[in-house]
Amino acid sequence: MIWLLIVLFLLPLVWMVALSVQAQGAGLEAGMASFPQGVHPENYAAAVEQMEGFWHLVGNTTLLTVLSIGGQLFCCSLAGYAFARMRFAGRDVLFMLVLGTMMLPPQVLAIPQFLLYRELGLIDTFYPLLLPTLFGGAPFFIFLFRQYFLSLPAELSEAARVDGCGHFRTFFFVMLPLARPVVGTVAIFTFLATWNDFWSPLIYLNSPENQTLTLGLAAFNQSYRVAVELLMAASSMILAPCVLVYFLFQKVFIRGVRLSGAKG
Amino acid sequence: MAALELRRLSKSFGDHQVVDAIDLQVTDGEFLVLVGASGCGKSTILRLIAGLEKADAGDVRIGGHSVLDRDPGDRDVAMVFQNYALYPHMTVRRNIAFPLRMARMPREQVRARSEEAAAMLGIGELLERKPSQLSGGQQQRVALARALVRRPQVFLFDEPLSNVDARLRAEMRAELARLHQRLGATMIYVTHDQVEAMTLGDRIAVLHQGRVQQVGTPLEVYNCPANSFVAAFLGSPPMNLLPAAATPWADPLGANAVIGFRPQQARLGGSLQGRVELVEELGSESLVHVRCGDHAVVLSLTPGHGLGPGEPVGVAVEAPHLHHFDRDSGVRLP
Repeated sequence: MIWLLIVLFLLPLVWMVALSVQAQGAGLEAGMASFPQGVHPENYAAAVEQMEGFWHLVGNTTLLTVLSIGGQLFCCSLAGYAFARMRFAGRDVLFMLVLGTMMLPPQVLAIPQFLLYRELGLIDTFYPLLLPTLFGGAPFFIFLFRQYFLSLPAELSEAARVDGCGHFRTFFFVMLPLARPVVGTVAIFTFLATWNDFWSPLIYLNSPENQTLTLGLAAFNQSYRVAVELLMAASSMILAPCVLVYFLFQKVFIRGVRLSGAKG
Repeated sequence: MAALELRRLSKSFGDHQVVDAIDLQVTDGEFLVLVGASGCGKSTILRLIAGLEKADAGDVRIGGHSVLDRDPGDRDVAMVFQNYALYPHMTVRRNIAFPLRMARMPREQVRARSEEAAAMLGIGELLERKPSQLSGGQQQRVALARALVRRPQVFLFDEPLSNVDARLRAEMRAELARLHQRLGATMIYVTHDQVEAMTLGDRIAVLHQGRVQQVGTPLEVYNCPANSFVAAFLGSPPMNLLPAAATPWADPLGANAVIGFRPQQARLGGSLQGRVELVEELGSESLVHVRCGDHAVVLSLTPGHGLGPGEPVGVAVEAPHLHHFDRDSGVRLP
C-alpha cells in the first residue's frame, strides 16, 4: 500500500524529469519510454537560454523570498510574543480579530488590496508582495508563535526581566532563540509559499524586469512553439530549490506540520 | 546590601485578595523566611518585591528608596526561581554572565565575575555545559551563581529547594546558610517547608490568607506562637489543639479557650485520659496517636514505650508548656 502511494506521488515528478531530458521533439507521448534512447541534459541549458531573462527571474524570486521570510519571521514572532507575554488592554480581543482574518479568502481581499496599492502608487513594485509580511499578513504564523511562546515556562521571561532585560531584549536574547522549531517552520512554509506564488505576482507585477519565476514559466509555456522538453526542464529547475529545501530540512518541515496541525 | 521595607503592600487578583496590607521590615544582611501554606500569598509578595507583579497599594522600599516605579531589572534584586529558570539555549557560563551582559559590563569583568561566582558554588568545571546536561543540584547551583554574580542589594528565593530530593535539599540548605554567612546579604526566602524556615531564617514571617500572622526568630515563633494558626502550622507533628473544656487543665477564660501543647512536650501518666489509636515508629521517635473523647492528640515519645492500639493512657503536660488561644479569634491568651 505504502509503495503504491509512493509511486502515485512520485510519478508526476519523475515524469517531469524524464520529459525534461528526452530528445527535443519527442513530445509528451514518449515520456519515460524515451530513457533508453539517451539523456539530454543540454535541454536545461537550452531552457535557460530560451526562457527570457531566466537569471533575472531567479534573482527577483530569490529577493522576494528572502525578504518575505525575514519579514514574516520578524513581524509574526514579535506579534506572537506580544500576544503571549505582554499584558495590555484588549489583547485577547485583538488576537481573536487577527485570527478572524484567517477566515477571509485571499480572493475576497484581492480587489480592495489592489485598489489600495494602486492608490499608493505601488503597482508593479515588490511592495504589495512584501508589505503584508511586515504588517501581520500571516495570522496563522502569529498564532503558531504565540502558542509556542505560551508553552515556554513564564519563569524564563521573568528571570530575564529580573536580569535586566526589557521586553525587546527578553524577546531577542531568550524567547526567540528558544523558538527555533517555529522559526524553522515559518521560514520553510514562507519559502514554499513565496517561491511558488503565482497569484500575487500576476496581480501586482507587470513589467518583465519585475516578474518572478512562476510568471516567467507561465509566459514560457504560452510562448510560440515551445518544446515540452524545455518546458519540463524549466519546471524542474524552478522546482529544484523546493525539493532541495525539503530534503535538507525534512525534520524541521515534518515537525512544523505537526506543530501547525497542517495536513497535505 | 540593603534593608527592605514593605509598607501596607496589597495585591488582589480579581476578587481574591492575595496580599492584604502587609507591613514588613527586613534589616540589612538579614535572612527572612516567608512561610505559609500554598496560596497564602508568599510567592506573590516576592514577585511584588521583584517587580514581576504590580502592587494595588502600598510601597516596596529597598535601601530606603521606593522601587515601585522601577522595572524589575532596575530594582537591584536577584531572584532564584522554583524551577531555576536557566536559559536552556545558553551554556552555564553564558547563563551566569547574562545579567552582567545585560548591564553592559566590560567583557573581561564579566568573565572574571562569572568565574568567581562559579568557583564559589563549585561549578567551575561545568561552565561550558548546557543546563540540560546538569543534574538538579548542579542546575540549582547555576541559578544561585547567576543570582549572586550581580551582587544585588537583595536576594529573593522562591521555593528553590522544592524540586530536589530530600538528601540534596539538606545539602543545599546548608550551602545556602553558608552562603548567607559568607556574603552577609539581605535574603528573602519563600517556602512552605517548615524545616527550611526554621533552619535557614534569622527571622520567620508566617503568612496565612495574605496576612502576616507572626514575625520572629524561629524559636520565638515555635515556642510562643501568636495564634492557633501559627501553632498548628509550625512543628512536626503539629501542635495538639483541644477545647479547654475537653481537658483537665485550667482555662484562663472560662470555656472559651483552646489549649495547645507540642507532641514533644507531652508525657505519659497524666490526667488527660484517652486510648491509643495508632503507633508510628520513626526510629528516633515514636508517634502515638491517642483518642481523647471527640479529639485526637499526638504524642512524640522515646521508642520502646511498649504501647499498642487500644490501650488506655493518661497524658500529662507541664503547665509552662501549655498554650492558650482564644477559641473564636485564635489569638494567643496571656
